[in-house]
Amino acid sequence: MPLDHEMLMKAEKPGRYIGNEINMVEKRIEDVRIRFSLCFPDVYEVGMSHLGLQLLYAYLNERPDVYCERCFAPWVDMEALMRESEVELFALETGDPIKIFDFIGFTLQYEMSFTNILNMLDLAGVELFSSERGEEGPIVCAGGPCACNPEPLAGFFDFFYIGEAEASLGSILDIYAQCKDSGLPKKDFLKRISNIRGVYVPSFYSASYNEDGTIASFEAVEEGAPGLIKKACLPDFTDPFQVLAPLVPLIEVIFDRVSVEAFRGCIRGCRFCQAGYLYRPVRERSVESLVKQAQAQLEATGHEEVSLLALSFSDYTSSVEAVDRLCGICTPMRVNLALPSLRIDQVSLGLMGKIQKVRKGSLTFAPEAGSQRLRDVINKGLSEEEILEGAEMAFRAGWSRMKLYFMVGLPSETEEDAKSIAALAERVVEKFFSIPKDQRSGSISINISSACFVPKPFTPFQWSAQNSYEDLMEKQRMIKKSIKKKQIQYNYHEGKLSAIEAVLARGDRKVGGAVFQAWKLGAKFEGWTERFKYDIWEEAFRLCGLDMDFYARRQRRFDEILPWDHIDIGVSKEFLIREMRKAEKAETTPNCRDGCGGCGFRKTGGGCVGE
Amino acid sequence: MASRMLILFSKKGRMKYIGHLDLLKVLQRAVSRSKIPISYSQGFNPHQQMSFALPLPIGVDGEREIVEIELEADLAPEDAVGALNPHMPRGMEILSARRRAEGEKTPASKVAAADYAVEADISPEELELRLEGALARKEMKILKKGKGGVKEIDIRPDLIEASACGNCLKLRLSAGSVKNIKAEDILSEMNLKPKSICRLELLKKTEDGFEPIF
Repeated sequence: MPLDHEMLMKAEKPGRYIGNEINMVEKRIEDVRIRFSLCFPDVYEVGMSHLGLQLLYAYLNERPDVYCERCFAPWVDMEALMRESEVELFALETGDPIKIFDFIGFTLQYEMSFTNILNMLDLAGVELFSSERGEEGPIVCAGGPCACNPEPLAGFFDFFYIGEAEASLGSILDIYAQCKDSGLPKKDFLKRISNIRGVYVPSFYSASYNEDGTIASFEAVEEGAPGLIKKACLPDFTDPFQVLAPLVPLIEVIFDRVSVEAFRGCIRGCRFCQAGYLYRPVRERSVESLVKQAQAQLEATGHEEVSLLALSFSDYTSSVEAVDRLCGICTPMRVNLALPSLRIDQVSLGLMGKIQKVRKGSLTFAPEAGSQRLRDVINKGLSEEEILEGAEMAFRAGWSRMKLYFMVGLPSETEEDAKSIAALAERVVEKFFSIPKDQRSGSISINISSACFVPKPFTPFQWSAQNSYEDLMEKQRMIKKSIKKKQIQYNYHEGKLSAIEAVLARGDRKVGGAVFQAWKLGAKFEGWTERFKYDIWEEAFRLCGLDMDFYARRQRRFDEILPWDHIDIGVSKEFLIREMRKAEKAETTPNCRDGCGGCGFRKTGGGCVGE
Repeated sequence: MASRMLILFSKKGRMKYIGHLDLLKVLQRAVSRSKIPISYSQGFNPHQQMSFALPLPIGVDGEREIVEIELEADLAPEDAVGALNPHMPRGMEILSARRRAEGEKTPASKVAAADYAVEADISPEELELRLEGALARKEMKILKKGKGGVKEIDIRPDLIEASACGNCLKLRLSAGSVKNIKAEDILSEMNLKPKSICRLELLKKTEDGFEPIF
């Protein structure tokens, strides 16, 4: 291990850096052909809570010719110690520096982790810009939700993988092994994989710009590179590749539990939600597969909690059967079952009732907007009556604590819409008191929190302007003032972080320069509110001669070339435009089960629920 | 029928960087995986009945640490060892187990002292000199943070025995719920930076001295 005793003793939580977890994969280096460093650009406890990391780790290590090891961002204290002692960033399994690996693969989960990627590459002793990396050293690649607009990071990566790893990552590795054996240069490898579904090699493309800064053209400059990069996606999810023995961290992480995925995609089509479009089509998993995995994972880990993951678990066709069967496994093992994403309805309360028989914890729901008009604009598919009925059912069933999540700054939001967040929370409190005392229990406590809306690529709001920082904060102050009842607590978010998120999420290639400058100015762990420094970003954009408002606060035209137009996630632009026009008129679109909205997947035969 | 079992284990190498509360989780999960019939507490959040003789500070190796578990069905001690060992992370090993007899006090209440081996970063001659100096002192006052704030205490009486051999320093220090002295407190009084510290044994008080609890 490259860190000595003294370094580990000086750092906070040395357990972050030692590996050695239960179910850690050990292989002999002589036995493998490809060494893959799976990098999560945040601290250990965050990365180890991520299901995708466990999935990729198991998927890659299942291949006998690949050894996948993990690498996380060292916390600032350890980074300083490592730089002082000239220790290069290493993988936890073998302690070997990641710069000797074949691949360095990052997962792009949130925009505010971008500077950490640069910091990790630098700490690894790897050139940041792909154009400056020679034949020596690893192929640097990335995947994950933020890869759907790869442009701000285009200069740093050799290739991006758009979509689900299980679909075609294997073919990429096969080709790499051939290229390595034949001693072919990196570019030959990149050319060969550039036609694999999901692969995007940014150096094979070039953009030109209009005088106003918008994109004039975006074209392939390498012969044979596809004009449109299609998302890689599993056609069938009934019984997908699954993690049977997840890593068990030795220190406390954010989510200390095993997670099983009930389905991919979401039938709802909330217009602000990128995940709702990105993970289409909706593909359900069989209960059998779910139960088998949960049982295996619990036995292999000894965890105390299992969580059923989905974008909206109550929409799972067999939700009741799944919960009943999992309760049957969990109760004798004294394991908790967690259902993190539920809607306010009878089904959800029934499910919650099954898993919280005695003590009623807090219920969490996300109405997202306070007024009915705005909920229709975002296509939440939830009426005020449904919210209040749901609350009443919950109170009558014994719950008295509730968390309600909202967003401020949604397109077309007025002062009245913002204030109605407070009004809705107050009506929920009134609903509690309208129930006779002997039919409810506890004392009512409503916790509302608001996040600032960030327009994202591949949503109907991808053309929308974000509110200014001042407007976002003013609206949140207004909500705070409007709350009169003492049973309501209100938490709100700092808008400046959301402003930078909006710039990075919809940025073009030029934004990469600002990410680089921000890193040089010391930006790292920017997703951690206390470490986020807005003035660094202001300075970084100024140094690059870029205007943040151009990216975040400009209403884009439908005919503008968007930085991510060469990526095809399966949802058509025509559909998104239709949805945006409906949003302008506060018209709703039914969920996929009630009627096909024609998003574009049906015609691809992608196995969606509309068929 | 419920029984209490004492388990002797080592925690070394990389595992020394895992703190006490995390170690508790590591062992609880190992017990769950092993499926040995441990008892759970009553109440809303049942937890495994497991208690340690004495927490081991982070960064210190433990040769012979003790944890007690309560079982809801009888299990032969050697079967407990055999069931648990395959579930230990590298750096931890279950060395032995035995039933705690009815009426025998808990290990936590018995701990009175602990033996340590310290690897020093100075020459054997220099170590010998510093040890003589330390033993010659009548008092060793240090500032210790407690519940009532910082106060000065004399730890010289808690340095029960000490000897040096090569660059290894052996210490016997007061330990347990009454008075617990960290090896590092003594070492900094001797102006010693340890290369490693290992807790060798947990001891109970007897009429004519100390003897191992397990």
